[in-house]
Amino acid sequence: MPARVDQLLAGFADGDAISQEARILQQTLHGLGLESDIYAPVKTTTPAIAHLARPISEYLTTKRDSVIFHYSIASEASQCFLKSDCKRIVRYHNITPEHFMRGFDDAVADQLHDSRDQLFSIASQGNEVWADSEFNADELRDLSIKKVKVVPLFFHPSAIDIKPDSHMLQKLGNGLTNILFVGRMAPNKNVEALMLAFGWYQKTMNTQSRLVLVGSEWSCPRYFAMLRSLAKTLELSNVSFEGFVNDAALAACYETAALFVCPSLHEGYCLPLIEAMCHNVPVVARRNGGMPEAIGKSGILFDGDDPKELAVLMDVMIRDSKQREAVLNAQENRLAELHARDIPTECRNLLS
Amino acid sequence: MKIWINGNDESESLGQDLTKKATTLENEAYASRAQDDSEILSLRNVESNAEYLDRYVKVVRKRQGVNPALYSQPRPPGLKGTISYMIRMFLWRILRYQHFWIAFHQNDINAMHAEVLDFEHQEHNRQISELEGRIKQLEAQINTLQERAH
Repeated sequence: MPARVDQLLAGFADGDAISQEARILQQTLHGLGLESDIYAPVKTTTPAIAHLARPISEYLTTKRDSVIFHYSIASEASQCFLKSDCKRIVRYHNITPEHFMRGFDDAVADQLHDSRDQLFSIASQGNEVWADSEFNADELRDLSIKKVKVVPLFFHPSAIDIKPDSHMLQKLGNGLTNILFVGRMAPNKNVEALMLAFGWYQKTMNTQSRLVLVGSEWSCPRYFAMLRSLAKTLELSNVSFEGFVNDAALAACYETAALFVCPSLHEGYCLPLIEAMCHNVPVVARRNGGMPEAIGKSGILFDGDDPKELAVLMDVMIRDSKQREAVLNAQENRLAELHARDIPTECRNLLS
Repeated sequence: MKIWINGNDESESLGQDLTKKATTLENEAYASRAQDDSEILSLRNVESNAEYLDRYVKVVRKRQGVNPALYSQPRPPGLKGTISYMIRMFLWRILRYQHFWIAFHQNDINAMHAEVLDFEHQEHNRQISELEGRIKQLEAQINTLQERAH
């Protein structure tokens, strides 16, 4: 067992699933009596949690023993990892295919292209590779990386046990049926499909409804501009772009939601599905990427592109109490599985 | 529609019911706005930032206006809902002149902004094509000079 396990990240931000996992891992490692620091580039670290990370420029100048490199996009962290002369563990969180970003942000599309190009060299340089879903592991196996272990995303359901923000509760809890999506406003999330379906739902089935979209709108401003224009074109009322919100406001969004819908076309895992389950909200997700693994034998998975069908599905899941209860019971069982996970023991076994 | 509930494939039962019900949904106005090949949704198919900008400027040009016409007001159920609906309709009537006046001026401002954006974009494109033409000309001249030197 090493005495010190550091973590390298391409970015460190509140509300980001990878950063959240890095924090949980750090707490666990400290609990096991190990030293552990998080390193991330200063320019991609958000000020609110900057005190929890060290600048990546300091990494190669400090004592090293083992390092976990969270990989999802090429950055200066990749170079630090490759220069690191200690036990190297690659934590693979998936790379968004570049075609989603092409046209919306060519610079990011190029960066994603480079990231995928570097994936083999990075994964093959690791003494161990941990993928957070079978879906991600398969991508690595396709590149002939053999030593891949599937280690689901580290997450404590207790981490989101936060008192909901009263202002947000008041804002969203005014009797309308709220349909919720949480995630970055990025093209792979396919938010427009949800907006189109919501339009059918609102205009033909429930005029007293609201679509709540929570997540950073600065990940891809051109995509966000398209979504805003789409809301105007469709003449939708009650589409609420909440942007990035803090943990308490996010808890209020979940508390007031009748249904959580994720039509994403590409996800490595999708933590918001689990968060929604923790708040007793039925989850509807596309059967795609790592999402089926995240929800296990619970929730609703769909496959199809017709917005009318998705609208009818949303209506059934909101109105059919029997169906809803069956889904919520299964989701509770899934959460029990996640609660039963012994993260410290798992970490000790992985590192020893 | 293919659907799995709690891990069980229910495409044949619930999935087919959903598909059947979906075909009965009708709203002509919304259907025409939500067409997959609409100008705004076609932004998903662009292949570069430049092409995106080109199309987006056109979208802005067409969708700059605030529509002051009465929009469909949902009527909540029950007596409370009916009263709140009537109050909203009453407020709409007494405020519409002010609303029209504000919308008219807002549309003036929006139109000016959209025009400036469009003119600037056209000018930018014109300058780029002029520069590209000039570069080609210079390259051709360099080639000629190099050939003569050899």
